[in-house]
Amino acid sequence: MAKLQEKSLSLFPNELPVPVPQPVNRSPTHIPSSANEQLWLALQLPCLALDIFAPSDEAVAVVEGEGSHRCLVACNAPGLAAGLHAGIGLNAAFALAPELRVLERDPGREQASLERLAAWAGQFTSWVSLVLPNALLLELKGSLRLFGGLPALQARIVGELEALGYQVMPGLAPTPMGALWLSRSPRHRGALTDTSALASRLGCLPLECLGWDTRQREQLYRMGVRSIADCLRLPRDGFARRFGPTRLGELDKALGRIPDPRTGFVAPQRFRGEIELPAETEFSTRLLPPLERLVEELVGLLRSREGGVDRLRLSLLHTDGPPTHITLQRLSLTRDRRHLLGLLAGRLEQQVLPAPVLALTLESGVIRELSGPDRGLLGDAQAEDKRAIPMLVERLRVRLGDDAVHGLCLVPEYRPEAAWRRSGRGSSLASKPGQGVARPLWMLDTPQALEQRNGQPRHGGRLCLLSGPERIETGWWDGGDVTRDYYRARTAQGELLWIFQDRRNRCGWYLHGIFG
Amino acid sequence: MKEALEALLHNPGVWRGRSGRAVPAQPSGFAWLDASLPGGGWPLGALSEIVLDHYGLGELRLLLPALRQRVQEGGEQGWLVWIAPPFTPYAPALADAEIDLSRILVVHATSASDGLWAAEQALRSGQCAAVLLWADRVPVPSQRRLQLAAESSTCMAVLFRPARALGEHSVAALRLHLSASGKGLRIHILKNRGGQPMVLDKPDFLLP
Repeated sequence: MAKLQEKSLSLFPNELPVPVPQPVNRSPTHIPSSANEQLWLALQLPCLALDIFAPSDEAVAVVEGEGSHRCLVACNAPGLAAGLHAGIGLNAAFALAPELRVLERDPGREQASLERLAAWAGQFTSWVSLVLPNALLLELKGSLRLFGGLPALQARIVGELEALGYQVMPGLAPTPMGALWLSRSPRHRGALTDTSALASRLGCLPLECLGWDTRQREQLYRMGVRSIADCLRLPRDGFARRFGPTRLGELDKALGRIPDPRTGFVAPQRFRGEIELPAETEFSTRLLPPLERLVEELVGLLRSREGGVDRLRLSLLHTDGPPTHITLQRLSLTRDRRHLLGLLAGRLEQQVLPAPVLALTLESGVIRELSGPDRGLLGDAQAEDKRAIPMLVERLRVRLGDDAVHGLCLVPEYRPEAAWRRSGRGSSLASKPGQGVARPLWMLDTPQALEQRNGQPRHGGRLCLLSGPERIETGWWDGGDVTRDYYRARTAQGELLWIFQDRRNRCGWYLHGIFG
Repeated sequence: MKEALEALLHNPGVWRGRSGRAVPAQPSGFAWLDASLPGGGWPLGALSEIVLDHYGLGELRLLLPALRQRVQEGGEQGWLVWIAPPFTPYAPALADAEIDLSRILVVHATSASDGLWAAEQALRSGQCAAVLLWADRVPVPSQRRLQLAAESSTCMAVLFRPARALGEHSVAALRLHLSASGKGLRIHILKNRGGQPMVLDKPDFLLP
């Protein structure tokens, strides 16, 4: 019977307020069944204004306002320990903590940071919505199975956000507005997944959770309204007249009575993130924690776009002078966090800082679709093993230079110095020239002239020729022709060498290889 | 008395030289050498140090059979990395020795610290069968880093150093000094974890 009633009433979800005084709250069965299909996780970032800066061990606070109205928006743990808290005036704060480092609030950066987090959150769900100034909404219903159920998923999202350095207050409800309200109240944090409990659970919340301005809250308070439940008992038309239809709509949306469409966040084509340091530094090790955070945010975006990057630029901003750029180019397309961080940190370690650093910016090239082992249903960890050697090569090349790492391959050619060449890593074994004559394991890049006495070659003493000559006379067609007699020779110290006599110049003896 | 001795020997703080514990090793391919090395070959997952009077004593030929087998058996993890070699490893000679060239990686480093860093990266990558490093000056802290990186892997990790390193302290599990002996090779095992120091003379080794 209850089901039938619910169904018949849900046909009119957008009922207009009727003139008869009717409480804002009707029975919970009035909630349209469509609300059951959604589950929203609201992530409130109460200290976003502070968290956008790199962490610091000293007392740091973010302030806003003009002149004598300047007051603290947020302060870090050392600041809290000194007795500071949000809302107190700047002068009072300096009285409590004379060493306090004050940072100006930057709403633009806060929004950029929130957008980066929205892009990062895209790895968990396809539906992320921004709630300015400091909250995100994630629709989780569709992701529950993939991430191993609600508790695991929520713990992972919150845990990873905290690891990134953001303070988070989560709230979970079948409606986005309800989730936002819950997230604002630390005492009522428990997950609310049952639509029928929506009105009773939300009703317990204090008025602060509504996020309305102080004037409206005081007006409600004067009317004797202390909680949202009280609010819901007010007559609908009176409520709409006093507080506006928007506010009434918010209540309806929270209870799932009317739909609450949210604009989905569209992740950008490239990553760009900036983190300012609370104090300028000249130690590159101090730059690692913020760099780690930027890379983590980048990787989140790459996961959500199912792509990888092959170009990155890290810029270090200085107080004066042009920024220092560290550019990684022609990487193999990747989104491996450890690998990217290793590459950047390796280059950062080598970088000589011309001046103290104020902030760092990480920008990526266009995100491109990732194919091959880095992607894959099994996740990134399993794919990692197979790619470890290209990663090792890349890591070495980024620090030592592109030419510093190479493979070896054979060239069918009789001139010893031309019988091999450097190759890209992993070239397959070319057909082996059947020489049948032992070649030395070490070759000199260019033959080294040997000193001579009475026409005999010497190398730190007399050389004893063991075998030879082996005549190599070739290459006339490309101008690099050689006519040489090769010998194996032993020095007095017992080294075994490969030397030759240049026949076009009868007195020239050269050392070409060493039998290692 | 005997009981007291037994109790002492069972104390985990007491380490006995030849405890018979199996040491992972790669047979060198030379029976006379294997017989002198604990585990019967080049130690795996530990650093070996080879001190050379000169290049050209046969130091690479001493390693080749073991390297060939490591690369063959390693499959995907069978990379052979040469870091800061003093000369060019000559591809035709390596191919003659039946070493799979497609598994070789040569890394040139301009400074000693870069070479050590590269060796550590290679050892920790978990994809290498053997890592060979040529270094002149290796301070003890860097040696320890290398040794730790080697322990984290199952690689053959070989550090080649010039003769002047003889007087320096070494943390390697195995330390050899190669010198010429007449027409052949003399291997002086200076340090041998789990075995004994000794001198091996091989007058006929030089003939390739």
